[in-house]
Amino acid sequence: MNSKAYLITREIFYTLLTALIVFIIMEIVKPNIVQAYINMNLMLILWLVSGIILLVSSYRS
Amino acid sequence: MKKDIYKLRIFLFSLLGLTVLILIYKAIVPFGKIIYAFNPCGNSFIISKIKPAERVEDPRRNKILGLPLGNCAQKITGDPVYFNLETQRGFDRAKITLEYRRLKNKIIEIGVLADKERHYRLQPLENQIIDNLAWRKIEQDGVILLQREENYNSVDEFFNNPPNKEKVLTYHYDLPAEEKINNYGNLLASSKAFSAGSVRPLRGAYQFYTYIGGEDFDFNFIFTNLKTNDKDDNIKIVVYYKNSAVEQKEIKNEGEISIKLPGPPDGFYKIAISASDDVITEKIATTQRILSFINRVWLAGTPEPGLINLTTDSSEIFARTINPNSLQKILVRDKILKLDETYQQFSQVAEMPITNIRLAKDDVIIAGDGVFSFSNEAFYNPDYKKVNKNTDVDRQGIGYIITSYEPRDFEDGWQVRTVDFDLTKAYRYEGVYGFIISVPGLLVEDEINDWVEIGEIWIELEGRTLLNKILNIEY
Repeated sequence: MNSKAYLITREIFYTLLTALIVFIIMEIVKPNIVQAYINMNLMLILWLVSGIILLVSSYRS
Repeated sequence: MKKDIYKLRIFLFSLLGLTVLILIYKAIVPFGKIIYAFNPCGNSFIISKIKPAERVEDPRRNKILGLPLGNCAQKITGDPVYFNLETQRGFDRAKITLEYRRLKNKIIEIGVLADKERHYRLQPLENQIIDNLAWRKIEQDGVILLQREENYNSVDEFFNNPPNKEKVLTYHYDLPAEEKINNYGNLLASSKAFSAGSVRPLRGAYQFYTYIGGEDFDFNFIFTNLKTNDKDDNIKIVVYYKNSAVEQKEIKNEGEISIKLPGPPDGFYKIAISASDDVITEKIATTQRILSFINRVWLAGTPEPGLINLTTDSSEIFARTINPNSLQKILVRDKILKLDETYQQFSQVAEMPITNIRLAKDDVIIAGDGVFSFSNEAFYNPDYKKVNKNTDVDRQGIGYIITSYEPRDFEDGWQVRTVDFDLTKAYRYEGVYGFIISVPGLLVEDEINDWVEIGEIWIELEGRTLLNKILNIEY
């Protein structure tokens, strides 16, 4: 994976991580405030996929 | 390269920040107004699917349906059905717009959950019986009077000088019940004295009307208990006069309750007995002549019931039993109502204003939209009759309908209609408003091909703005 793609994926990974933490806190405070509009399961999957891509790229390099 | 990464980071976190702000905006609705839409094919967290599943068909997505505004619809085949609206905050008003079409059904109503006892406050969406009347209409302050012949020039004139009660129907309008019986003294003189044994043992809760005309209020109830569980059963009797409670007594499980009111004002009284289904009213002894049970009686099981006679003014009589030994043929005037399965409700339309019902076995729940008495002499209904799915204004000799429902021109095909609700009086449990769609007479188990098809539902909510809430806190 070239370095630009790696860096973009890393940014997406950290943004999704922040988003998940913020959304989970929002859900604890006010249930369904996020889930009514955003599929958090999908977000979690995207975050995991981006994390796996980062790990595999690091391992290879 | 580093600059590009920072730009990307700023962009992504700005997007996250914007998303959080939008979610908070949608939750608090700072301007007090928001619209939610429901499509039967969609998956919405805000508006739930219509349920129960056994009363609806699967949604159909098909442009051939000729849907004017969407491309998905769902048929309702049983009555009633429910859906929920989940909101992050409370609102004061809801405007529900329903896109629908129907086959055969005359009355469609929509309601909001009013209390935790699961009572709904219904509003009419469509009433074809009223829509099809070519009667003269007078409107005043949201009250509509429909008259077969023009005898009144205003609604006030109608209230000040109402016609014979038998000629009037109400629909979503509470016309005050009759207050006095004219010539009650003659009625007492001409009718048989009340016999305590004429009221059969009753099971569970019930309500009835009685009338006082220059006499004392005197009732004695004897209760027993089936004791099917170890829990205590509260038995409460409340006496109402002109919608206010004037007397109240309570016991636990079983015993005797005597209620005496010396020199009460003349008029109709409503007595409400609250009790579980384990409680049997073995005996009601009274000096009052009129005893009319409102909407429902559960005739308790007895060793030797004998022939049971009931008089009612209900337009449709419903019967149900949980006891296989009580399955029978019930005579409703000259028609047979077959009660041949337990836990199922059977019905028979009554074509006359007053109908006699005869049963050979008890432990049956008899219900209807009118009152029931155990003798003709004890029968009297002070309430005005309501428009229902069986209403035939010509057969019933009706001359007037008083209602809050605005009649519309009847049209076939897809309709879009709006109903308003006051949500300040609605019951909101854990952020959820409950709604009901009621189509009287729509049964899954009958073999009639009738249904109501729902296209889309829009719910426009209105409540206090954020500024109003903040200002209220300050003051």
